[in-house]
Amino acid sequence: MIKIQQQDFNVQEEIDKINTHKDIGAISLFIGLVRDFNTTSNAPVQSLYLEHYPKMTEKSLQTIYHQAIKKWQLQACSVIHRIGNLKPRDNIVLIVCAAPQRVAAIGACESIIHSLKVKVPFWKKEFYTDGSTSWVEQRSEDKTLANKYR
Amino acid sequence: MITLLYFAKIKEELGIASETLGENFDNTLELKRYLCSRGKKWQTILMNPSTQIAINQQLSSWQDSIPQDAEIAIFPPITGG
Repeated sequence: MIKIQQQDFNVQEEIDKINTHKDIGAISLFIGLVRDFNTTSNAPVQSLYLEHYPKMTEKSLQTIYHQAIKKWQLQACSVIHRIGNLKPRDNIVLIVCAAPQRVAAIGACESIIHSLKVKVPFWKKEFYTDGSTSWVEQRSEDKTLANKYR
Repeated sequence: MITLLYFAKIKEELGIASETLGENFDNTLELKRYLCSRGKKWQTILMNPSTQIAINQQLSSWQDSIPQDAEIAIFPPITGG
């Protein structure tokens, strides 16, 4: 299941939905949160705006999702990514992967988030407590990590 | 005819979210040259090696052919997740 939405998600509810599938021995999850500081300047963040490219977001996420399910032989998988205005510590993204064994569940979860970081068109704009703003920059390690799962 | 979409920081710096061009362009390099002819602001953004392009919602390169009636998006490096 893939969702792109403004509203928050409930982590336990999503785990419970996944856990209705059979042949599951492991569930791995990743939750991305809004940082309360800029990672370069340490400036305190008041809010975050998440922009996206509708249609391409869904298309590219579908590709990553189906590749992960096939490669890791997942029993079930959910990806939820939020958009719009968010506050520090708010949930941004949830990835839940279920498989018979832990290696597949963990590997799939990792591969999805690392690929999403460089292939799914979202952009983050931070608003700081001093009134200034900046667009978050992609980190060089994001590409390196994504290439690991190409 | 092609539709151009701009996102994030690039949209802000150019002051434009979208436009339609009546001209035909064989490839993205031709399109880049045309957009650069608009002035320094466009050149700075388009000559930045980190600026990305998508054709019909697929990540592309600056040497790909452009199909008819394509939707082209120009944007900075992605920062989701």
